[in-house]
Amino acid sequence: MQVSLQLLRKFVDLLDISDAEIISTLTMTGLEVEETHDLNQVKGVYCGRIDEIKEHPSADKLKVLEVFLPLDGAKENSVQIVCGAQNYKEGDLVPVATVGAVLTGGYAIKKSRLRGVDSYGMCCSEKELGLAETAPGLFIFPGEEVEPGQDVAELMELQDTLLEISITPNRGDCLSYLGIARELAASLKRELLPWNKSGTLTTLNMAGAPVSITLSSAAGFRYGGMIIRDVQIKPSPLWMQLFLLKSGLRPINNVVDITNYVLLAIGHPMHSFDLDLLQGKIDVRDARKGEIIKALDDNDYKLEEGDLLICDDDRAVALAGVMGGYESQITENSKNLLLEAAVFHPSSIRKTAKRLGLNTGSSFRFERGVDSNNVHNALALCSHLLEKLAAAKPDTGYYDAIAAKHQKHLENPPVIKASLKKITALLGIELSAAECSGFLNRLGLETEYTEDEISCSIPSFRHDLERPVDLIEEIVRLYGFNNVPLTIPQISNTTARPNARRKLEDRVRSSLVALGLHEVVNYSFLAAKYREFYPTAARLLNPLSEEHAYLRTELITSLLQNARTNINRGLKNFALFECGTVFQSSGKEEAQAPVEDLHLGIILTGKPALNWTRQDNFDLSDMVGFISVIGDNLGFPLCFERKTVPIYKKNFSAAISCNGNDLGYVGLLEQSSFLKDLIQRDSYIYAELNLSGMGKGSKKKLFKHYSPFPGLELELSIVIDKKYPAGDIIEQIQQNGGNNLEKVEIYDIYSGDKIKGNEKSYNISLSFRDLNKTLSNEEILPVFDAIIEKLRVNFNARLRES
Amino acid sequence: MHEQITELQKEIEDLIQKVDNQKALEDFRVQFLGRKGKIPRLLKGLGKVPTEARPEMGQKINTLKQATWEKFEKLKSEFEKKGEGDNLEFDFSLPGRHPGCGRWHLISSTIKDIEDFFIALGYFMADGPEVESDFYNFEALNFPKDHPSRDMQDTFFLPAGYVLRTHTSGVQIRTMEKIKPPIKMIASGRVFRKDHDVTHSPVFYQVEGLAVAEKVSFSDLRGTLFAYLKWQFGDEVGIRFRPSFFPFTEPSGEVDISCIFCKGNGCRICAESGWLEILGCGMVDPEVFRHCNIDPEKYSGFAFGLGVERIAMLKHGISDIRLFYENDLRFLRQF
Repeated sequence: MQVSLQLLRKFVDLLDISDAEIISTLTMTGLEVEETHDLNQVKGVYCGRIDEIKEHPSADKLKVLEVFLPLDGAKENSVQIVCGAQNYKEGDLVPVATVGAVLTGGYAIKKSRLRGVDSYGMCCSEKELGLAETAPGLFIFPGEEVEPGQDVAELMELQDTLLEISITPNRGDCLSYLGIARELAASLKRELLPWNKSGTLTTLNMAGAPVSITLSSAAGFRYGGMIIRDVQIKPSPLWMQLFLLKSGLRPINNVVDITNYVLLAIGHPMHSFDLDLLQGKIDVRDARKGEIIKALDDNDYKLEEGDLLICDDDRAVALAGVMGGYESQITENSKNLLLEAAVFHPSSIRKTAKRLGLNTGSSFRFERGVDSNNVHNALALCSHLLEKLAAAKPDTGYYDAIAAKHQKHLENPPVIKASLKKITALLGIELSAAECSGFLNRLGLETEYTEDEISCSIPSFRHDLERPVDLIEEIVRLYGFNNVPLTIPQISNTTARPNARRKLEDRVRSSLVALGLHEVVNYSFLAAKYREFYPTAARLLNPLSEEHAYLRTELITSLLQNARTNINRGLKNFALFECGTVFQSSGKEEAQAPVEDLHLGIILTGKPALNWTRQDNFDLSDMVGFISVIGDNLGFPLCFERKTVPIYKKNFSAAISCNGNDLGYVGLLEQSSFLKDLIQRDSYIYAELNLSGMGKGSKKKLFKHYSPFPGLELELSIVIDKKYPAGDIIEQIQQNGGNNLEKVEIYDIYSGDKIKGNEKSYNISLSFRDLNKTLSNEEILPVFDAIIEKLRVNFNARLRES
Repeated sequence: MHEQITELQKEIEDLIQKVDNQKALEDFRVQFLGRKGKIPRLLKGLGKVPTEARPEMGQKINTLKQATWEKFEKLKSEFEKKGEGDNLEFDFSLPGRHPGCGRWHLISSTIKDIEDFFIALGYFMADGPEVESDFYNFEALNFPKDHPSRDMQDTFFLPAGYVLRTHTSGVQIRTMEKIKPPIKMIASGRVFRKDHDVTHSPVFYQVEGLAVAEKVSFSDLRGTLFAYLKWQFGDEVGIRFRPSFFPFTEPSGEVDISCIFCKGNGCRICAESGWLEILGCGMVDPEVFRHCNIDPEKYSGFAFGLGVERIAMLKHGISDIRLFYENDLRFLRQF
């Protein structure tokens, strides 16, 4: 909510309190001041009278104005100004920034020449004066109040600061000057000022009255109506216009402005109907499904059951609490009014406003709860102002329809009891019942108390106070959050619980980071254009954009986007990984939440590290190595098996599994695959694993004894047909190596001139060691020979002559 | 001749003391042992010595020569051991061989930092799903249907009433359903809000904390968060608590720290206030306890939620939250 500091000072006695202190008090009371806007920047702007309007000789959209501006010490009494606005006539009084003037934002005015015509200043709108974000044209002073030559900064009270205050949804009572003033008065121990000079109204008997009111819907709590006759519709006086402008609203005419003033000043939404356009009695009723109402904004709204309407005998005349109807609205010709000050069910108003997308100042306040006891005050203030500013003749009283249940509630305000023990225990501070009661009294709450209990009567404007804990919050708010001591909770017997998922994630991160990879974090979204390739992606009902329309089922699109971003910026060598949640929708069963899995995606391209020690690019072997390290660190035996997967190059992809469970894939990405617009290079190596699938594979690590005796290392050099995978050879050796075979390692691979084209040569080292003794060659050689024989029989392998 | 030899011997002994590097040693060799050195010259002068004295003088000079060579060789090998005078130098200015320096993403490392603090205080780590039901994300946290409090968080909706969680607070409910007090829990993770600009990302991370037991008080909340913030931002950081509103806590508060950019003097980043909002917190609302079948008359508790990116941004002077999700290598390498 936007308020002016100077206007706020008219509601509460803050005479000796600085602006800065007011701002900090508001924030520290829970009414957070989000922004401040200093109006006190405007200098050299005076009121001028437009005496003559001439066409610009060479610009259709510009006018040349002769402005009467009698200033002390000036040679001429009038200046020529070229103006782009159109909303004025001769004789209008407008703010004129003279040469040398400074406008909001520090904008300085100089003599200028516009399309060949000299201009000695600028005629201003409320925007240039810092009073609005936008403006339809020049600000025009209401005629009789001002004189040409007067200083505009003084006239418009620009020695002021505007505050943007964030009011939390529980504090509907603070959506007005009065509400904010009440909080300041409580915090600073000040008195509210008697700003309102309106009198008291009587309630009129509805029998035989020109307007009778009924409440047919349970959502209509109260409806106060008042008849005002013979209004003269015209612009509001300057003070009223300034009140609205400084509070973020645009002045329209005296009647609309006065209802808006009441809204801002005391927080009660008002509506005024043209009485002569209403037929018969007023009824507050539920809408029928499919019923249509044309609202003030000239739009037709189709209604549902549960929407609340204000109707006359013929038709709906307003969408209750949200917006008035088009047909019964005030026009320049209106003479007689029906003023409305009502109370409606908050959630009914919210549902309607939300569904129709009509968030108005009125619906905003009704949703948060208005003060039923303000109905009288709102009508009294409104009619008083109409009498003064629109020469109207109000009735002496108003018609007041109250639902029986609501009346009962008003007559018996709720009483909340809070025990002192509970208060001090929850806050951790020592307080007496008298002190607590004192805090509540400052907020305008009536209390009674004993030594150990406080009972508090809740006024009709504090809808948020329902339970003892709500009173405790009020007590500590006034005690001061920052005066509460600092302690550490004395909690014993909590159970520490390991978090398996976090342990897994952290191990994966640590492993990959140690191997030189960088972690990335991406949004969880999938662009609509890739949906066809990921049919299990769940759809968002209200996405930010088509780029973020689905939930990702794999990490690959995210990582490819990261690769693209970096390559486009000239960063061509990288190894990235992401560890994140993916979502599989359960197909047609949209009634279930998507299944969440933890995936790991790794992408490699370019050179490993910018370093003289390695010249070649990342290859699949690097990737297989990285993944094996993860498996090793997590205690999972990972298995790679060549498999054709659509996104990868043929013969360069494999499935990764763990104890027979498929975990994911690894390979060289195929540039012409379905993700071709994301695959910018032919050299992406990509792997994706479902880490959630690993859960059951990990074995508890038990200590294994190792031998204190030296071992034997033998080397084997074989030549073998290329078609046999190295893994099969290793496996064959392991199967035949006996209990003493400790390690088998390929340490060199050769293919080339010295052997046949379809052959490969492997140099393999075999380490043997016995747990209980030193091994001798004689013991191992038979095993070694048996291995060679097996390789010969099963793989047609031969020993390579050295 | 005799004197000459004694003199030279003395000269050699004096000089060799001063030789402390390869160059000086070489100079020494040239001066005494070189072809035109002092010892060979002395040998040449032997011809002028009377015949009968020659053998004795010759032997003396040779002894001196040999002793000098020995001294020279000894020093030479000493210098070589020190690594001087050898072409086999190691160039330490060349980068070493390593697989490259990977990094945790700043979000992950910041979360780990925060968790470290609370784990040391005895909190355990809990988790919850990122797609939540209306019940866990709103209802059980005391956000009534059709209440304006629901507007506080712009929500992404999925079919059948599911939402992308707007906060990690749902983990409070999931935890209290399973575990009865005393509880000290933290939960970190990804949350989602329909909001996208310099300071708002549709995806961001929170760390949630919850402590429930008999007699947990608002002062306990303050003490815990004070300790954490001092640990995170240093002892000199200013901290203030102010009232706010969250449906699932009462009393509710927000905590500001003194602006780390202007040291509290007021700047553009803190909107001239000198303070930066850092977290939301409060005492667990009795309604929340009731949803979890915990007796609010017996137990009380506090809860808080930290924005991970916000903390990282303040700590490292990052002004645009979108950088976290762009994953430019030059960002990733910095932290």
